[in-house]
Amino acid sequence: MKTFLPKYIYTLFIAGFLLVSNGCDKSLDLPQYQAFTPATLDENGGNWKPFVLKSATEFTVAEPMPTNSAEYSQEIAELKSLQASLTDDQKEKINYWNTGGVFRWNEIARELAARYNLPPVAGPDGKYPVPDANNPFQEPKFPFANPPYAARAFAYLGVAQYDGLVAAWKYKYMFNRMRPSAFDASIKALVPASDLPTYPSEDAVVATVSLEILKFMFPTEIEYLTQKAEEHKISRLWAGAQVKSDIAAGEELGKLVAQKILAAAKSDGMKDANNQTLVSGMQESAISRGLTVAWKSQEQPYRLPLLPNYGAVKTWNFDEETKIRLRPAAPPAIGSPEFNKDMDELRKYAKGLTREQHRIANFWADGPGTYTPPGHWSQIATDLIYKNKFNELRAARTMALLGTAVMDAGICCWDVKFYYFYPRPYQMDNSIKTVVGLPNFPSYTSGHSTFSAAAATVLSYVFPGEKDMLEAKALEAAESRIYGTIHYRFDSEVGLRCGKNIGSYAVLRGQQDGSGL
Amino acid sequence: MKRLFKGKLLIAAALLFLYTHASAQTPSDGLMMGKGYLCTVFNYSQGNWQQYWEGPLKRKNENIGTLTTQQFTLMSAYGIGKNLNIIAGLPYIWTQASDGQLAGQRGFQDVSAWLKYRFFRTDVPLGKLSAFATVGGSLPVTNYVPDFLPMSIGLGAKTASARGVLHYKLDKGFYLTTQAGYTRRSNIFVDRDAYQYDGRLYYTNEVQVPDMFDATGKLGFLNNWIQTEVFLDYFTALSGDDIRRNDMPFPTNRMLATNVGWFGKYTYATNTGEISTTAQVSRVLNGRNVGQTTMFTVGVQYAFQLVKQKAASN
Repeated sequence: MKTFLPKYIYTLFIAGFLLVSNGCDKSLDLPQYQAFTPATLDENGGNWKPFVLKSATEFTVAEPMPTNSAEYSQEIAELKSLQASLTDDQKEKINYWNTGGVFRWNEIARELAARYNLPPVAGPDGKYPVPDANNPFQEPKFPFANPPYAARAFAYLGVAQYDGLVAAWKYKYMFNRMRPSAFDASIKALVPASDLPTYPSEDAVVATVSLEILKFMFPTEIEYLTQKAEEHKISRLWAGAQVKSDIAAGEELGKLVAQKILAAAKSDGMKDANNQTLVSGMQESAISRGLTVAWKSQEQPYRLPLLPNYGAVKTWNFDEETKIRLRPAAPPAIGSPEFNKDMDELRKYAKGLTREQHRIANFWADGPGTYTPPGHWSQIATDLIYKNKFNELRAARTMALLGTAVMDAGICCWDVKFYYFYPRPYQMDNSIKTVVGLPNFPSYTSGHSTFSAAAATVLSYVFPGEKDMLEAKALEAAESRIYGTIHYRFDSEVGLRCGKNIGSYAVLRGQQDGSGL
Repeated sequence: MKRLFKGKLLIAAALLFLYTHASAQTPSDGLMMGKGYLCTVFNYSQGNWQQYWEGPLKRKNENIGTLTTQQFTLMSAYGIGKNLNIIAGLPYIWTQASDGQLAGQRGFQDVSAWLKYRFFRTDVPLGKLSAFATVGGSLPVTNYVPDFLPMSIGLGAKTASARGVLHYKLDKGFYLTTQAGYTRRSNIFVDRDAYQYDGRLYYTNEVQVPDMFDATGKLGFLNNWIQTEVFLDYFTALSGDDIRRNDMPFPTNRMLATNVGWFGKYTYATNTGEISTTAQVSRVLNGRNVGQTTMFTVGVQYAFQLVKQKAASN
């Protein structure tokens, strides 16, 4: 055996490898959230107007046992014994839920939307099976959480949280039971001290309504959701923030509110959203109004369009007539100079994008496997809620206004899409390849643009200081679809205008809901 | 010129999977450039797949049809010393789907460089046994989009790799080479601000790309004019998740594959050096979260003495 180079070569090689792999810390820099004292308590929140409940007192909450009763002392003693032996895991869960129930449950909803946002695969017969709400565990699992579906899930979640909390606020300030640590100084509250009365528990209300709504929207996740709800509620006991009877009253109220909201959900027309028998009539009527080339699925095998009758689902912030009035004028005729101009722009992007244009297309793609554009705006909203230290009620109001505006945007946009039945750019010119997935429904108007403008309008009302940022985001989302070459510029521009109008109805509701905000 | 023939450079670029893995096998073979010799390789490869593995499930996708990845690779190896080579390469890659509307991507991918050191050589019955260590790394030279699989030209990670090679060469020209390597891959930053990994949603644009292990066995024959070799390759990501049912692939996916192939080279000498033409064919036998690629490569090599030695050493 011979060696050829000095011993230090080994060290050199090892050092070289370490040097190159250095700076290769693979831990992820994930957002961290701290507990905060809400900026306001909104003591008159019980007088705010709910969405679905007739009033804050539609459901009665029984008067709590007095704080000088033996039962209450017993509950306080239980808190102390729970707190005496908190594990690290329990402390972690306390911190997790300290960020806010509304914040966390919307985060959970986005995760489920992403998990279920996968289009079914065609069977050997070339047909696509449809997920079945009555057989949710059967493949393909129910639901396919596409953007309209997700928009609806977020809307009902926001509304249920908001209506539940309006009622909770009403009773909180009716009964004025103060936090446990106000009665027994030896209770160490692991949440920032708050003067918000604890009966009924706002956390139990949010946990219960969120569980019920999300169970309905994502039925196969019942086990996961139930565990999250239990964890949410018990974490408030561990934290010494509320006693058992606070939680029990919140649960009871939450169940009643959720029942009422779910009844509304079950009769909002979503059951008929995938009625494919209407499609040929929609197409014919668009042609009778002058359409020369009707939209066709570009997928192999041919896939039926996504929820063609979603446009008939019940809107939140305006009526059917207004919806029709919000319908924009027809898109440019195919082959017209306006059409050709926008096609030429797309042909240019199809030849190559700048990296920044490609970044924008990717950032807003929100395609399969993601939480969808409504989810993207939900994320923007919960970040602002956290940044602005909103209390639970105000957070829920924000998510309800946003959720309903975005769902309304989806409904209006789908109505327009199937009213005009306009083909995608790729259908008109197969050289216009795309850098994002090609959605399987007509082009005009852009869903992203409509969702985003509606969302930015509502959030600019709630967070006036963020208006510029929000409008810039909506504009970027609308542009992203042009860079992605799946929408004509007129799809996006008209979509933005429609979205803004749709959002203004949610703003109007907000201005008239008694909050004075 | 005799010495020069021992300094063969073999390149078999790019196992093409859902993404293009543009690594030359040079760091993993049992050959060295002689001191002062430079060998430059220019390759063209084309890889195709019609089927891929979505997790464990093998499937077609009619909205992709056949995915074709082509690349030109320029690569050089230089003999710093008799037992120490430096190798560097850079591919230009373009992708294209035969069906569906997804746009192909193109561009220069990652520049790679390795040091290869022969730390052991001894006479054994019927031949010689030698052992090598290589370390190297790669980094993207353009800001390509890694999060558009299977159209992306690469994963965008910086890598650092270390490997060992054992080479047993019979005096008659037959040889057996085995190698194994570990590749560390950096996190990448994608254009979106949230993504799913392993069933959870991550609110960051930072993505962990799994580290890799790979191993190869080769059996071949080599003389002054020809080289012919069959090989079996295996690589696996050491972590990661599966592609979700009917979802797009993502850089976090646990990609793994077994690949079998043949490599051949014909060399002739000129007054100034030697020119070789090479050809390679390979096929993925089995995998997970990768395409079942069939790949063809052709190349030319030119090797010559860049720095004259004072005296021939053997």
